[in-house]
Amino acid sequence: MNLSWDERNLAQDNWFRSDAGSIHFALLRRHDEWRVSNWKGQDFPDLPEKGIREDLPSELEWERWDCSDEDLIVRLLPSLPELPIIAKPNSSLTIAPGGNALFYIGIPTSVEVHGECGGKLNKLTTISTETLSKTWHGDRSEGEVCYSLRTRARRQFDPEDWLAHDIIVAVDLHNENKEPFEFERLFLDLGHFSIFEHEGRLWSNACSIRIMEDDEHGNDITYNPTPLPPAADAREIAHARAGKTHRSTLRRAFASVIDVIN
Amino acid sequence: MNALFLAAPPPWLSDFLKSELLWKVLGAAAILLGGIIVISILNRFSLRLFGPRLGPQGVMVMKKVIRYVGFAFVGILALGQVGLNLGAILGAAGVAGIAIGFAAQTSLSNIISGFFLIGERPFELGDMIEVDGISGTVDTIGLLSLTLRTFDNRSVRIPNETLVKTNVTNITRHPIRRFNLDIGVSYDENIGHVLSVLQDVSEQNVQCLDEPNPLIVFTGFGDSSLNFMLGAWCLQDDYGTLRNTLPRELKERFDEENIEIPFPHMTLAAGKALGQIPVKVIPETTANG
Repeated sequence: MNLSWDERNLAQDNWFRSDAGSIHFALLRRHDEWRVSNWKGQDFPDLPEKGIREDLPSELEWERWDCSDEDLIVRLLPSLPELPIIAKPNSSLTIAPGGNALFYIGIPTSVEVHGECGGKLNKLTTISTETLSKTWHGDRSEGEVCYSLRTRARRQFDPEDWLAHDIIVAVDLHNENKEPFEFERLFLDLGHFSIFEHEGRLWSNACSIRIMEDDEHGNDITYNPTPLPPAADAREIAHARAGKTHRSTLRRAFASVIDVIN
Repeated sequence: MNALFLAAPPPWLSDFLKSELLWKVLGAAAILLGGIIVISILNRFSLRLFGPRLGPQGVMVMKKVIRYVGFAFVGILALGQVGLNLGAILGAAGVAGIAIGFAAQTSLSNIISGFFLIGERPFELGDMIEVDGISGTVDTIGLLSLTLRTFDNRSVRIPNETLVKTNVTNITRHPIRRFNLDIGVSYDENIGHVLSVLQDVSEQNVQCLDEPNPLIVFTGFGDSSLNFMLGAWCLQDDYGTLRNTLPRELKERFDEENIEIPFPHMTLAAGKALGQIPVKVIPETTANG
């Protein structure tokens, strides 16, 4: 992943290329326009990281946004998927009554391209580094569409376990039931998570969730202001979409799809 | 000028001003005006009270009913104020009503069916429904009929009575929907392998929801194929896309896995099945027979 999250200037007829996972994209400043092109896989392997317009392959397809002659600033920002996610560990984990379990989930980042338009930065487009499949949280009559995420739900953080374009979310589960709790799926609304950068890796602030007797009435979720160590002193680069909050309620966070009979 | 104002009004005007008719007419006008205001207030009040429960179409019908009934009531009161014999008018209206009722049985049936539909709300404006084999989007719901816009942009009017009597399928009532795909493979294929390929293809498809789980079943031994059914859940908006992508992805994957989809073969043969075509040799005839 060759992504810089800082603002930069892009002169007329200049471009730069960035990569995240299998997605590559180029940003070009041309006339009174920002132009963005993205492609997947191994197309254009010899394309350098930056250059002038004449160096670009003619096969690239561009999206274009109007701007004024003086607008030169551009910034890339990471973002979490717009839909909530249903995280499913590859193998279920049982948490004893009164016990807690910390685990890490890696969520593929999306890249927002912000370009200066009329003197201020506007979001031009969002490029997903991975296409997540959709899933349904609720019954057949009512519910919410989410992204489905298979996770290994690692209990320890090891940098080798994660892809460079993953945003690492640490989730601490507290089982306040009198019975053991088998963790098979977790509904997670991502609106209150900010994104941080630490040593070239992306993190979100950590959260802890109380598992209570009656899942129907929701589960308390507490958001930490920062990620957990080793990224506790990470730099915040993207604010929470729905604003920061300390505490919230997740509706039926662990409920499986009910009332679905095939 | 002053003389004009001071002059006594003409006799017809003074008679009219003193007459009882003027006050009756003024009273009737006041009833009409007050009635219109009351109907308008009643309309707004009812909208607030029942609007959220009735939906847009119910609100439209309720407004019409309040307006028509209200105007009829106010009209009768106003006529009574003027001094017309209401008993005779209502009697005549009753007789006329019976006659009209007999003549307009179908219309009345449609109107009553319309009320049932509004109360029951089996569909809303904009829903996609299927009635008697006709599918489309509900454009308007009137007192007498419903207008359906078909997918090729024709407008079909369906009487409310028909909607009450026949099966109506609401396609878009629920947010998710299942696309069922029947598929047959050759008898040479391994059933377990085919099931796992179907599972894999549905997992890879972007429109296919992970939950509810896709329904994948072996449906039986066909005449010339092993038959399977893949039921993939998707969002209503994704249904059209899924109908295109899933069969294509399945075919491509079957080709990769060398899974054969059998299809009927037709062999053309002349005469008795595939036998040699008989050739009859006719002996040469002599000129004299």
